Amino acid sequence: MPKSSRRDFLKFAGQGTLAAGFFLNLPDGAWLTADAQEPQAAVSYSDNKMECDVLVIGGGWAGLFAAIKAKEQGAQVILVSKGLAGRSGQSPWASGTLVFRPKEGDKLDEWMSHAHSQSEFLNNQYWTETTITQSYDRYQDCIAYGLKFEPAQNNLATPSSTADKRPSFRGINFAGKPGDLPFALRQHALKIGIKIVDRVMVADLLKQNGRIVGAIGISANSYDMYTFTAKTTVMCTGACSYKPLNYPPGHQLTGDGEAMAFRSGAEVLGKEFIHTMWTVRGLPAGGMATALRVLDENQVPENLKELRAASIMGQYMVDAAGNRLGSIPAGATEYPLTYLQLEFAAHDGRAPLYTMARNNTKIEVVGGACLGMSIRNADGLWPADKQCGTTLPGLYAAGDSLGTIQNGAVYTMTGSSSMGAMVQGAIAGAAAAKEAAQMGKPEVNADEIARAKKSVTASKERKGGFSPRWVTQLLQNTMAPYYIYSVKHADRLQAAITQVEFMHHHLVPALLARDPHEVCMANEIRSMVLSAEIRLRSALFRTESRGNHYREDFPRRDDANWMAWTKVAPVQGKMSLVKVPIPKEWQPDQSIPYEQRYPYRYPGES
Amino acid sequence: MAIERIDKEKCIGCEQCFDTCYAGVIQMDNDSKKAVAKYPEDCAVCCWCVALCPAQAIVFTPVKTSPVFTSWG
Repeated sequence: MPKSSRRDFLKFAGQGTLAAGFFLNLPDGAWLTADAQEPQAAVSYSDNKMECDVLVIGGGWAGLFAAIKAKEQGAQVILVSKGLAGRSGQSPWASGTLVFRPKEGDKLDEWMSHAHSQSEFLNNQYWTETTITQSYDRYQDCIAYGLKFEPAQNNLATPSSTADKRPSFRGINFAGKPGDLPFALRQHALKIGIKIVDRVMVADLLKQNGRIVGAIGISANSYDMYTFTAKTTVMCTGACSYKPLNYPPGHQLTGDGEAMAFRSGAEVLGKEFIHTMWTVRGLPAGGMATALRVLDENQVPENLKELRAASIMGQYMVDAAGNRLGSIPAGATEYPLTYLQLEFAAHDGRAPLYTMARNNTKIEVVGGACLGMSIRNADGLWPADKQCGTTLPGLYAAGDSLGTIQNGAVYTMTGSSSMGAMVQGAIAGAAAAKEAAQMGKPEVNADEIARAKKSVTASKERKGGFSPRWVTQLLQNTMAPYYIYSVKHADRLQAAITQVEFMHHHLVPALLARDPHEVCMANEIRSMVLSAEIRLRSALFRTESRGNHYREDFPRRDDANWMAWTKVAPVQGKMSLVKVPIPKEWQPDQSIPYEQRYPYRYPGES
Repeated sequence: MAIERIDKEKCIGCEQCFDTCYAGVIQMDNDSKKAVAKYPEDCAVCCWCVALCPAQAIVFTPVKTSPVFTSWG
């Protein structure tokens, strides 16, 4: 990450704000409700101690590549996954991945220029370029590790918004059935001697003398606890969603890594930008029943055929009156539905909205399907250096856990999410191994281990409280309305902040779990509530609109004040938000008229 | 309602659904060694279990109902 100049820092430091929210855990037992109907029986967790050089948390594209590359450097590696490593998170749902092929005519300066302008100039160009230029080597690695691809043609391409229709970026599709990828990477990891621990949720980090020295994990199925100690740790826990019913790939991705690192002192960025995916009303997962889509027609159970058909995307969208949605900038022949066009139409009173399927049937659609998620790669832990280190010594991050903001304010490069995860995983794993090789075994004192264990299992120790399912539903109901999540305004954001702060201070410290499954759910909602507060405060802080962040009260891009990233840091028990300026040499040329710099018009722009 | 149950007669105990379930809904029964839908209320309707089951043992409807939202819970 290029360092800003001292002058830039001074200019922007005064524009930070200390928000009133507290994030540290407050004492348990302060606000318990009446006892549950049955007193909770005391349980004792087993304690499994595991030591390694490099601990990788998360088993998707990023985690598996980090583990493999660390092992190739000679490190002793443990990979721990909340689900089954190689078949959890968003990773199995990737249809293809970005592959830059200069020998076939792909031009780096064109790809970088497209990414820069389409991201509305907010992309971190170092990470954009790193993902692009290292993609071919990671693609070769995938083949060597046993992953199968379709023939390497232009078969995963981002449509261009320019008149000549040349793809802005391209990649290669994966081959195989659901469950195949990145499972092949898991099999390779096991073959080369990586220890994989499945179905254990890592829920808190261990910190000693300012350094991350391991983590505490709990089994999702049984009262088993794991104390991991490691010389270096790589966080690959993926994105953050609030378990939206309409986006199953996000179900496990509750921002646990980001949350536990933030509680330990790490910094976060990018949470004001939202991911805009739609789904089919009345048919949950209708937009994403990909698992059914790859089955042959005759394999699909009769009662699921409609769900399968709904997951085929329509040609274009219309409103209740039959008007087409979408805008066409000058020089193009079509413009893909993007930004927040569904949300704006709904706000305008034009719902119900429909997608037109290829046989001209109308399927009702609704936006906000990925509730809780930012534009891919926009959010995550603040990168402290070029080796995927975070601002916490001993902690690296890769994939959606790392805030590379490589796509800026709009997801521009199709396939860059999976490839970015592989590229960063490889960098982080190698760097974590190199650092581990230069140090002795870390010491962790017993008090810190006891603190972390208590933090993770507190919900099981209580006699009364709130169910994690109820608090999750409450959070979803608070964040889901489009006028909070997508079409934002200071008044409504502040109202939501008040709600989420209450959840943080009163409900999360009184969560009640009855079995190991619910203990994991309690830890997940703890992560989600923190993420929601960071998201709302970031959205309130950025007083402009840009890409997938829209403020009804600030509907224009404001380059003069907002050529910057929003960084959120834990400072003395509060959330501190500061602008970090984008390096001058990356900022757009202000002599180009505003309408040319930003072809897409928001509602309310003059 | 999403996953309803797993048909004990048809289940062959291959553990594909247990391995894959995102939401921890499916657990293996220690006695019968077969899969059980232990937490159907948490089903995320991703359809992986249906797509991967070699024995068509998953009883599943594409309807997700949430509990009525109450004052506390």
